[in-house]
Amino acid sequence: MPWYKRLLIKLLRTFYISCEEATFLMTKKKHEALSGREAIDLKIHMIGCRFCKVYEKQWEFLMVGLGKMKKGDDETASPFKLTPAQKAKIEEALQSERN
Amino acid sequence: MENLNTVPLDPSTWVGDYGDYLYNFAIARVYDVETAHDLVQETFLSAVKAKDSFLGKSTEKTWLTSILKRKIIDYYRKNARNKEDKILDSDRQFQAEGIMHGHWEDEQLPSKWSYDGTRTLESEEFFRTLKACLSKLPPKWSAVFTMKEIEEMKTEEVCKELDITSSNLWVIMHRAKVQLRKCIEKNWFLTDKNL
Repeated sequence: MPWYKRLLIKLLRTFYISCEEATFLMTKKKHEALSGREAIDLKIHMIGCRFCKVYEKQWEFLMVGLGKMKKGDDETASPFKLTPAQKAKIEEALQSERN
Repeated sequence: MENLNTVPLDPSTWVGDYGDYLYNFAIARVYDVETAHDLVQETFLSAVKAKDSFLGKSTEKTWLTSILKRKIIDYYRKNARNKEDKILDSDRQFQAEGIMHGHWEDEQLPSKWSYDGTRTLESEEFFRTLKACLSKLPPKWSAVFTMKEIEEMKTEEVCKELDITSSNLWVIMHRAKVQLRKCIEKNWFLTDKNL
């Protein structure tokens, strides 16, 4: 990489955070307030970075999916069923416990 | 002194009435059917031992579920403590060194997904893929992620159970999420399954 490009990148990095830092702040933001500096850093990054925008949108969808997964698993529709053999094994253990 | 408030329980009905429910509850949180089965069995065994302490303040189902929840957390603690939380270099999402450190590795740049949201959320296979990806995470990462994002436990609680600081927690959550996204992209959105 030519020296001037390296220098430019170094200068930009003094105030422009990386995608790793940005995605980290996105995660943290969901649960904890960001500091003033963190919030600005993230905003500035998000203006220019299409990959992080894509990442953010994708996680919005995945969170919906996870919520549905949790809800579905906790309600009556139980896709997984204990096999008769598994049930028998548990019953057996219960029986010997009660004796 | 006899406890006049104990409600009689009938363990012979438990497996039939609650077995599948508890099984699914466990699978959703430990991502492994064998472990889930073991935890359900342990739950019933503990419950039988403790049945004299059931006061009837909650339902049988809630009571059994709370025993299972505790066993799941203990499972996370044990699992997270013993195992390594490393991933393959080829799975690392961001450049670790050089002038571009912190930027995505070329092969890891997020791709755009084209999908029908409604249909995806109705696909059992999508959820199986999701669970498979969760199970592929290093144990400590999936424990943190599940406790915080799925169980929605408080940060302090998760930190206490897993003996980590809140800074550790955010780092682990971040790594888990970045890894998960990639896994789901690779195994669902960029395959023919997503049609």
